[in-house]
Amino acid sequence: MKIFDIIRMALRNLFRSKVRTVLTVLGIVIGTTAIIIMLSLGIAINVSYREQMSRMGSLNVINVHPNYENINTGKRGRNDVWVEPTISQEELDKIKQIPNVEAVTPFYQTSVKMEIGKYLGYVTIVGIEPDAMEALEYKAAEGRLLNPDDKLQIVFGSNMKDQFYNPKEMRRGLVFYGYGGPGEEKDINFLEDRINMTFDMSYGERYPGSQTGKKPKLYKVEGVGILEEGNWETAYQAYMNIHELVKLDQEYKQQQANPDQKIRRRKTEEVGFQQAKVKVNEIKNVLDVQEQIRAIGLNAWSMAESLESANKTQAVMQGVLGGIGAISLLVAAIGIANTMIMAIYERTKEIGIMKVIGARIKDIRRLFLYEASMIGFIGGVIGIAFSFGVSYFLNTVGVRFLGGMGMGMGMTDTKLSIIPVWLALSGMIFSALIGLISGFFPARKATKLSALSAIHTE
Amino acid sequence: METIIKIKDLKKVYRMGQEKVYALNGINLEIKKGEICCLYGTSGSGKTTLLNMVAGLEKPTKGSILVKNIPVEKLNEVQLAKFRQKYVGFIFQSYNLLPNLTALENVCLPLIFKGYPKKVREKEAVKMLKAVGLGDRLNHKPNQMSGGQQQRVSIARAFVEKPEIILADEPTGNLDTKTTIEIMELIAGMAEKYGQTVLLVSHDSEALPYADRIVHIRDGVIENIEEKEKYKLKECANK
Ligand SMILES: Nc1ncnc2c1ncn2[C@@H]1O[C@H](COP(=O)(O)OP(=O)(O)OP(=O)(O)O)[C@@H](O)[C@H]1O
Ligand SMILES: [Mg+2]
Repeated sequence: MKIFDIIRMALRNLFRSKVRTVLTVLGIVIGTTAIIIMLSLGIAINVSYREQMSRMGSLNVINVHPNYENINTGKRGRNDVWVEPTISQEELDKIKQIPNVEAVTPFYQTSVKMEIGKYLGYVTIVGIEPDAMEALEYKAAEGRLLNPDDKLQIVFGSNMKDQFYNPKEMRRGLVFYGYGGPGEEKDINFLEDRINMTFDMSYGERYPGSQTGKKPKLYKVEGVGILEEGNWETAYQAYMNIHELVKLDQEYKQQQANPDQKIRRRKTEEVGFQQAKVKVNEIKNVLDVQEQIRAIGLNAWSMAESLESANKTQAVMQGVLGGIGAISLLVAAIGIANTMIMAIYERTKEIGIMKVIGARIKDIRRLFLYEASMIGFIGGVIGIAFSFGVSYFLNTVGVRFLGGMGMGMGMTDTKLSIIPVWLALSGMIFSALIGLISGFFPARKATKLSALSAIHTE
Repeated sequence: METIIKIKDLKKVYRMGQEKVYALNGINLEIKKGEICCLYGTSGSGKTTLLNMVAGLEKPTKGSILVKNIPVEKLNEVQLAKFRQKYVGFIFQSYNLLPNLTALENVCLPLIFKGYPKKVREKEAVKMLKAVGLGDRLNHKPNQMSGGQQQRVSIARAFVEKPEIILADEPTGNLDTKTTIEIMELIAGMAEKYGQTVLLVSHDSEALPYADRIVHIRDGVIENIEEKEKYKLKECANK
């Protein structure tokens, strides 16, 4: 028997008992919709979590910090004052030896004040190895990243303008102390304007704070690049060659020190770092490298690690949500099996006749399997169309409703439910498969019928 | 003359609790190719049982049936289905048409199972229905037709594949005398035309003249075999 004829015959049989077919299909529609919507909720949560994470930095970068927990073993400074632990150059060298590490840079972070035209700004400036910038996936939206021979060249974070204020306006009370905030468009062009930088925090104020009296130097710096938006970590920082920054900072510290305190200028290798970043070649190696950094005695934190633990909890949640949907699909599958068995009782005589006039066993089996999987497939297709409707409803009305309750967290494009193509397709295949499996037992029953006694039933 | 069906020492015992019913009790029969053989006997004598066994619908308790040298009793379900599709056409007393299919579709059915393309099988079915005089009832459902017409459809269905053997269990049992004669004319005519062998069960005296041989059965044994003049003629012609 030709496949096409089987399909036609199966469709015809389904059409014969319309009400029963419709009810069975309805069961599958509900089951498929339940499972798809449940999974789509889980996927949406997952996607929004990943988005949030990616805004916080790259996945194959490890953040390294000194181990603050070992306060007791921490270094003791002069007069037995506890000195903040830092990462040493030696430790950085060890990290560089770890396999799969692509780049390592220490961060030397300090605060400076900058002057651009009529604006002043408190700037967190980060010293970084210039050639590690690219490896750490910093991306310049304008201009360029740092070069190894840069000295007073600076790359700005995307939201740096917010850090600048107009002292005159502040005096008039138009802005709060120190921060201009986003507010009105400021006439600042980091790449074109002349920029002055100083370690003197009272620079530009009417009443300079108590200083040692020695006027700190004013450096003319040059903006060479602005970083891409979308990364919270880098948005409010400026970047500079670490060697230059350490040099300037040491100079400043020496200048400001009391004459009786003999302070020696230290080189980059000698200062400690509050932070370092490590770029790993592939995401799958991140956890391993992280372990080895911890073995050195440092704290290591990575997005990949928190993503993995989040993935585990989300897998459990997906499982629970999917399970709820699966139960309704299971009930629907039993519905198909029931319908098919009913059909066999009803059509016993017919099956007998078909067997006597030349139907093969496999024809009979396929006929019933096709009918069952068609119920599954049709139910699946309608269920998916229906799921997209429900999903759309959740993403429009549902999001607005949650937003009204203050749960939208101000994100306008948040989705409650996401149905990827693979989910829709596998939903369709899965429901047909469910039909096929539910039809298996009834089909077997049909082939086992004795032709003779089947003919004699009325 | 070539033997197409060879039945040897066939026994069928039904067990009803303690009691044994000997439906067939040692049947020996050879049926030649192209003959019309009629099984005749009182009710309960075992005619239907014998016919069903030739078609492989029931397994004998003992003995063997060779159809075209195939031991039917030894075939499994799958082989039996193939065997029936290849060699046997069946006509029932109660027509046994599929009620939701039209006359045309009913006749098409065996060809569908054989995997014929739609065009071919419809052409064949229409030809067959015209041959049984139902050219104007192609799209009627069984419940829209008389008993005689339904039986014609079932004859068309049995003959459409041109099987070598036609098994007919009281094909005229539900019909009046006039229709019985028409139906028997049809069966005999078709069988003659395509050189088919017909094994027929009948109670009707009107049907008997169409048979080449009449096998009288009583209580599961063959009482005697009545050979007609034309059987001998056929035999001579073939020799
Ligand atoms: N499935 C069965 N179980 C038990 N006994 C059976 C069964 N089928 C047939 N018999 C018995 O076998 C015997 C022969 O039955 P069969 O149907 O062959 O008779 P028949 O010659 O066709 O009769 P009729 O002319 O009335 O159709 C009967 O006595 C019947 O009771
Ligand atoms: Mg009978």
